[in-house]
Amino acid sequence: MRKASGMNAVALFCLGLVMIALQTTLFRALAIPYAKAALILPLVIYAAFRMEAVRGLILSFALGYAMDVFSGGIQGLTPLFTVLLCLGGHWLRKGVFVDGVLAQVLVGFWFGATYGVLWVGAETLAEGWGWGQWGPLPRILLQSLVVGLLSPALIRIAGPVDRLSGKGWRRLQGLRG
Amino acid sequence: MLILMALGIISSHRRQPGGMGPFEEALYGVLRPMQSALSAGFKGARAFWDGYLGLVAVERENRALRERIWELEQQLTEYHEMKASNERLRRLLDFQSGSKLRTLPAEVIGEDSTGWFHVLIIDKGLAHGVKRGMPVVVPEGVVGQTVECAERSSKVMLITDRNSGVDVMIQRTRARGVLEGMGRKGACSLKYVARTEEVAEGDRVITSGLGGVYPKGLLVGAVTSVSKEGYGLFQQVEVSPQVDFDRLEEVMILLEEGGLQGRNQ
Repeated sequence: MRKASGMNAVALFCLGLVMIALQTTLFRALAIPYAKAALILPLVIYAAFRMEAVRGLILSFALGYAMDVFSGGIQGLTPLFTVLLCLGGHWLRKGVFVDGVLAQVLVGFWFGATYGVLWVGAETLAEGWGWGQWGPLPRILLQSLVVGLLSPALIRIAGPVDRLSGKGWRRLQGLRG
Repeated sequence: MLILMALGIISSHRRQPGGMGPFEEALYGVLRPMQSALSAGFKGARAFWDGYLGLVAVERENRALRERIWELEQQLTEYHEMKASNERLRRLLDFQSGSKLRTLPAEVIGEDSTGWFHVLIIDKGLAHGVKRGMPVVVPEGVVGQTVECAERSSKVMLITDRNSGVDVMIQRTRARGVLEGMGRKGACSLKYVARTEEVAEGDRVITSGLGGVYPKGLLVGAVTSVSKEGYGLFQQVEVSPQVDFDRLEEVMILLEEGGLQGRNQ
């Protein structure tokens, strides 16, 4: 875990916004709406496994809330889930290492699946969705697979963004001082 | 604390859906250019793929023919509507074609971020006169309605979304019902149609003008299946929307909010 300034989280949040912009346009262009995975989840994984607890949780909350703004669902559900996932990841990181590609794929898949189940479960409770009516399970599996496969690359992108933004900010502070 | 904040947001959103705070406005403002650029880029890439790598001439001809079909279908809907109205001697009917209404063209720049809802993001908002609850249409039929508006973009809930409900009627028999989304593309459920009403496969479904959002007579879709169980007051009717929501690139917002309601009363 690295010591981070607040700018790291801001930079990662901006990266998350790019992911949300991609998410709301790419899958439509590819005409595969069912595969629309939450591309912010690899950043939540990064926040959970590589960042300080408080900053990681705040970043996860902000990413979830930003994603909610562009969704048609109940506002507040996604930040709740991303915070819970980040907490879970934090707890897991004592025993699980996400340095290898395979580990990142598996954790990405697990995060994606948990996120999907939480979403559909909450909407079932709140709006009366049915699990059997329109078969959300295959979609959850497909989306989790996409998150899993993209996780290594996105975690790799998040690393330099985190490091460089922190370094740049410290240099700027040094110049001021 | 963050969990409590999230629960607070959920609670306030459920009490007052459709509201947009400064943070949301700012996010829409930041992401709009990104979405527009990405959307245009992907659209260009798709057009390149479809147009140049595919059969250019066939694609163009196909598009022209499709546009012609949509035009003729709209004309046919209008014809049926006028004929039915004349037969019932409704002299006060002032049904107008969609093109005569005050409309605002908008471009689709994104869609729902989660994949679980049928919502589009368009590039017109409050600054262009768009408000919550305005109907959104294309020449082939009804798309949905605006549910949240930022300064320069808006969220449109499609008629296929599970939260959508449209007051409609069968054009042939005038049987009324409420068209609800089923959360999947290409199918909606027509609820509350009395089992004594005559509904057949292929019947055209149009807006009734009574829901307070959509003007009367807009084509919504066609009946694909009808079933009556041994008991119950209503029959189960499934409707296939006329619009191909996956291919939507431009839509029209009907700006005459109050006038539409008033005209149909």
